[in-house]
Amino acid sequence: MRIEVDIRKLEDELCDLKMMASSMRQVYPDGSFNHLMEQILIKSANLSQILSAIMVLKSVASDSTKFRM
Amino acid sequence: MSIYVERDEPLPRIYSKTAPQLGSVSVVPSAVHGTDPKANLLTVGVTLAQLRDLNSQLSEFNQDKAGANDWVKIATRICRALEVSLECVKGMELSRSDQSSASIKYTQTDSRARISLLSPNQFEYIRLVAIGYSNKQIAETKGIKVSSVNQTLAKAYEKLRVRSRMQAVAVCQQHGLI
Repeated sequence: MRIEVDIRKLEDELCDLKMMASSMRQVYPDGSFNHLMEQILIKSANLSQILSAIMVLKSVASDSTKFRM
Repeated sequence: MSIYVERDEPLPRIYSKTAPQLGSVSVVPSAVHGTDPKANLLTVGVTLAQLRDLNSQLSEFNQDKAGANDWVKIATRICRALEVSLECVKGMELSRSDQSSASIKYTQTDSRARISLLSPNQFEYIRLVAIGYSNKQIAETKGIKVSSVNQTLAKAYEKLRVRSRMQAVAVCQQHGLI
């Protein structure tokens, strides 16, 4: 079984997330605040899930497992 | 840059209770090691359960200015927590790149013993670091000087034999303690 995760993509996702979080100050109070926060939570959940999965894969590392950067 | 994983054995089961978009996930690697699942429970800096709770609170939120400021703070902390998690993942990758499973297991047992040396205060500060608090914010929360926080964390790093806050968080996360 082989799984590939692009760390740069994760970093980009995180960067987007940070931008969304910082723009929350500007969008208030035009009504889009809740929607933006909801998007942040969804995006965070996806990232969180990916990071959890990577940690698991690493935690069960054995001789037959290879990690490469 | 990518993480590349190759395994001959099947992956451990990953239990996932998902709501439409958000949910809680617990991971049980015991299928491989045959150990206590809770001891191996791994989470990232912000859990899906926490995000789900926030999402339900958000649906009840009426946009008043004070409340909106709180949400901005929450969003910033979530970002910081994910940032720490990502750094941990990258750190784990580098530290394990050329180790055998035997040395990984030894390191894990060894680090577990070192975690038990932490005082409740030291552990609490590392927990706050993991959710995105800066040393200054920890000092404000606890009502103490920043220099005391620095000192407490430095002693914690010494006990854990790590050099940075990221590594300290990674060690505690490896054992599912934060």
